[in-house]
Amino acid sequence: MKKLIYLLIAFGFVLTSCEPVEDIHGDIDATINNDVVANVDYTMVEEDYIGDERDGGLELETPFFASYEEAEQLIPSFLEMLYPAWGNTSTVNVTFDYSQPLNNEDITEYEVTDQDYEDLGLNFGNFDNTEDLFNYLEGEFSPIPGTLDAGDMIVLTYDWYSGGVSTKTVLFLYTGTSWEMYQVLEADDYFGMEQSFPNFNAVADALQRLPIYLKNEMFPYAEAGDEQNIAYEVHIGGGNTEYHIAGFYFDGTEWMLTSNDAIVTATIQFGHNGETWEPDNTIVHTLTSADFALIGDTFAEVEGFEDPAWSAGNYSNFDRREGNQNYWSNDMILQAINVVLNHNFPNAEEGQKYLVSYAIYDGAAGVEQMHVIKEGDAYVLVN
Amino acid sequence: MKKSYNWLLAAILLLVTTSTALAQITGTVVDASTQTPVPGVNVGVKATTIGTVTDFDGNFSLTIDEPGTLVISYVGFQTQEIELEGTTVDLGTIALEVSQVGLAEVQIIASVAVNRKTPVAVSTISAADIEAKLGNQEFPELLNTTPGVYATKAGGGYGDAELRLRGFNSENIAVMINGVPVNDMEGGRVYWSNWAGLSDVTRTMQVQRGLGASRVAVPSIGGTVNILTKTTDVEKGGSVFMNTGNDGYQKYGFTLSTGLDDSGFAATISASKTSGDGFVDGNWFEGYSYFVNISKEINKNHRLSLTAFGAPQEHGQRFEAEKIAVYRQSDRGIRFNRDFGYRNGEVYNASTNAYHKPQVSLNHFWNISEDMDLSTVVYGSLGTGGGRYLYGEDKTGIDNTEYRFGPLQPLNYDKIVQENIDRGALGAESIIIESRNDHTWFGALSTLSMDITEDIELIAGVDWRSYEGRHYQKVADLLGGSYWLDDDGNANNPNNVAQKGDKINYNNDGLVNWLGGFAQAEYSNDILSAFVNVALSNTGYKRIDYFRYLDTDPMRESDWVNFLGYSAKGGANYNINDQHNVFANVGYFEKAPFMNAVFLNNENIINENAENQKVVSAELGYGFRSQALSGTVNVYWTNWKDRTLTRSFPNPDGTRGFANILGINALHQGIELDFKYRASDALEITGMASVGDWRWQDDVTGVEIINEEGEVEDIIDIYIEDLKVGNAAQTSMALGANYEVLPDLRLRGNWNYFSDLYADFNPNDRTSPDSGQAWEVPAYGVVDTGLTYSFDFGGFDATLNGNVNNLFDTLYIADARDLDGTASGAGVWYGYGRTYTFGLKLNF
Repeated sequence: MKKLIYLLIAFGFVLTSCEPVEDIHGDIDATINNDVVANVDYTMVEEDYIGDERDGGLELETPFFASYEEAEQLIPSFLEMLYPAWGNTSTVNVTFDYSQPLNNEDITEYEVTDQDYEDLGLNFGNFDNTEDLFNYLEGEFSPIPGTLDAGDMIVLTYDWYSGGVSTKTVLFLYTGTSWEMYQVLEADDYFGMEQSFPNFNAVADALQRLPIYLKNEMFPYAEAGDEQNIAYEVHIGGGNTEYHIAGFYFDGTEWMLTSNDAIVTATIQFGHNGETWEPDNTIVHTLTSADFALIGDTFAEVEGFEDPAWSAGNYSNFDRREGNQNYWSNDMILQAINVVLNHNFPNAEEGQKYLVSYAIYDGAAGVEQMHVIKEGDAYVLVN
Repeated sequence: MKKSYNWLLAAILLLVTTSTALAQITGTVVDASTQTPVPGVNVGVKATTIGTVTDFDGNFSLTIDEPGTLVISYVGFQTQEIELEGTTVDLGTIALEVSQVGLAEVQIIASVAVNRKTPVAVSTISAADIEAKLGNQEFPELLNTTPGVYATKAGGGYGDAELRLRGFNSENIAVMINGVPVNDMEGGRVYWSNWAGLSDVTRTMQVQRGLGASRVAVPSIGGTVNILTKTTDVEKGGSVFMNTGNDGYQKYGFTLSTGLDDSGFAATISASKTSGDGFVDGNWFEGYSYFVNISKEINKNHRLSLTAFGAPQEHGQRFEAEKIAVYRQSDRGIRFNRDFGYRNGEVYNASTNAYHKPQVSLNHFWNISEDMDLSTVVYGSLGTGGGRYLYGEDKTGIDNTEYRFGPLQPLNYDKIVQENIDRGALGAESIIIESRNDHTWFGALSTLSMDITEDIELIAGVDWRSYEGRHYQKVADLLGGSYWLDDDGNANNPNNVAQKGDKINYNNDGLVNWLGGFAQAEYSNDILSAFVNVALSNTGYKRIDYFRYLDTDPMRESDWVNFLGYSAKGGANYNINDQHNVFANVGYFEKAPFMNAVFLNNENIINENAENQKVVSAELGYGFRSQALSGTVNVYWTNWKDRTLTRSFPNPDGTRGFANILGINALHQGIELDFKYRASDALEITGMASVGDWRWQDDVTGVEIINEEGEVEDIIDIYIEDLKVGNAAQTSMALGANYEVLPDLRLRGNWNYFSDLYADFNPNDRTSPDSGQAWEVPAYGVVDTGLTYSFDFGGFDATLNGNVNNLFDTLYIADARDLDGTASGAGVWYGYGRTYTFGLKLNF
């Protein structure tokens, strides 16, 4: 009897040293998503373009990308270095600079009229500061057609007051965030550079002669560090010309060419797809209680949705307990999201993606997401 | 490492001491008042290390090598000293007098069950065990080593422990303190936090499983917990004690007794303070307890005893049972509490509870004649307090990192306050609300007992109770807001611009009038004892609602609704011989539905369908007793019809929902075993096993879900037919050893094992006929250990006591709420990790 009882005690103590919840913890730990998810904005700085790779730089030669395509190509590896820990569904809005050849089809030529000055509410028929000019170009009376995009240009002729009134013709280039102004050469300038017509025959001619002309004729008293932007026309045959631009920098003895393309700023959203970063137009939208109220109203009478619709409207979340009368399946949620997105973003373009976050209840409050893309008139899951 | 510890412990327990002998002393120790044998009494020779304890028949045998003084002592009894002269051999029967005045009187009212006489399954925890083992455990947890019991700390707050007996929760367990019922008169629940400090003054705690021995009508469906407090010490003296433990646990207190003087007057007073930070984050606590007993023997036939006790406390709570993944991801692990945070640079928890329920009772014992006595208690109790929590815009959500110092980090209450401040004249967006549940309760219990013949006793009595519960919510803290707008709570003030202290949301009274009578006939002699008992009770309910109805509305005050309940039970115990006895009992009772089943949805409309709950129960048992081994095996069968079940659970939006589920049937049956084995004078082994089969029997349709404001929010069907009853382990086992390693140094260890524990179903999740079984929580075992050392400390009789609970820091889930039958879906509370207390008591 004694032995049996001691044995029982020993058995009991040994049994107890097992961890009862070890297996369950193992299973649950395996399902915990440890991805770090973040949604941020990032603006690239000079070091990001030209810095060493070991410092997280791209080792480019210029502090901007050579093209938009190059930016799309190189930024994923840059983000990989910048945010190595971030995982699936993270998004970064990257703002960067790139060089963009002038597109002469986008150039508007316009001469400001007296009516324009009046519309702008200016006291005199001229401009006297650049701020007013920029506001004019961005505002409701802007002569630039359509919405303002990076790379848009206008050759504007206007009256300028600076002690006296003079007429100026300037090429304005929109970089996406700011304006760059290029002085447009006049006919006399071309003739001064021994051209027969008020244009150059080739870009090479222009780049060879402009530095000399700047030094000798236009700015004989230039000081080291001065910069000048020049816009000029090149004959492309058939009596047609196109505009080119060139930026110069005076090093104390000579004018040096710094660039002859437009450097514009753009922003691309990159999303993490679980493996890598890719350009992604996804807009993050979290369902609000107004959205849930809309869902509750829209589906209140829809067969099979009556109870779930009530629950979503009442609790501002989707009930995700399978078997429950208020249960929302994935298909049902997709239908609800279609209603909300079509209501909130009626003008969304084909191919627009939305990462929709919504509150759920599965015994406890939680958040789930659905990544959808607009195809035709409907939103479908992003594969 | 853990395993080697285990074996070391077992090896220590295997050690047996030996001694040499010259002369042998024998005797039998009995309780002077009942003449029943007292097992476990310490018998020793003064100023030596020679000693033993009595066996289950009260017998002892001691070998001594020289004459001296025999000291016979047992907690709760007056110590006796007997001079040993010459070669005395047999001391015969030694009668020990209880050390307390007025105890016998209380015992009559309290219906204490007696082994081999009262035909019920019973386990008794002695004052010595309570004092030694309690440590920082909750009161009900001490009962876990007895069959059929499942007690946990629930959310982990001080006094938030939950007790279940045979699978029934506290609404269905009668709890009596000194014979006075303490279950809430409206809802039947027992709030242990009301009694958190009572353990200091408890003399015994007896669990009567099943119908129990109570003569008055009580909700003993699962059973009865009969707590007897100390009364007044016969001897002058006192004690002081201090304890310390894990997580800042501190407790100190004292007891002083005048002793019984010649005029028959005696008084005892004791008080204590307990405080700590709590194992769970934000579950700090501060509790006090006081106890006064004054006894006066007017003359030989009349004795009066006045008892007053109370245990005001305030503590942080943890409401939410989180998913396992939450604890896994939190750096606080199983201590995680979503409501825990910081405010003004200090630890802050929006969820707290404070309550104070002083109870005063006056016992009168009248010995009318040799064959007749009348025992009466008049009592009154005043409860004030309630729970506080964050209300309004839900900002404490687990995914709501905006208000946390990072994901699953503590809450930033300053941000909530700042947002309220910024709202200015728009009023607060989130506040701390207090749900008050105050009550005034008066009652009287009177029992007349008559000996008709030597073997037959007739007992009859009355039980009157008058109760008024006051329920309301009030603004406890505006959290920086300028006011709280309660725009639909009070019909008499539809745009209630509430300031701190103003009542909001609801305000109503529940009145209960109870009148009961009972009669019992008992037959008892040494061989056979039997009883039949009938009890009748009328429960009257009335409801007054100050908010929901206009002051002019006659509906504001309901009529009285009366329910007549009755019970009939009988049983017999047959002592086959000195070793074997068998017993059986059977009973049927109907009890009034709880108040919230009568007034559904907190409206003053009487639910015509409210029915009495009906319970049939039967039990069969066998007892064995020898010098070294004693034990009981019993089987039970309890069928419950038209059960009203009130459940509270989180709604999908984080608010709380309530459901009154009417007309449920449940069947609870099982087998229980417990034993005590005295391996040697120094070593005692105890153990128990209990296996239950508890199931719901039917589905229920059209159940209304009520929101926090008391409005119907949803109507659902609940599919629970054949679902196992959860929330309590259906299988439990315990094995314990108490070993006197050295004289006055006792080591004890106990292993408790629980399995077949199912997650508690959430009515909201059982709305589909294909909902399967609830999630089965992994079985677990926990080892508790302790030591007690008594020594002389500068003339004081001192006791050093230490406890380590969950010695191996076993990680286990003690409470679970089901979602979809899976571990990942369930909301859980883990049991505490390793905890300890250590204390010193000085007697003078």
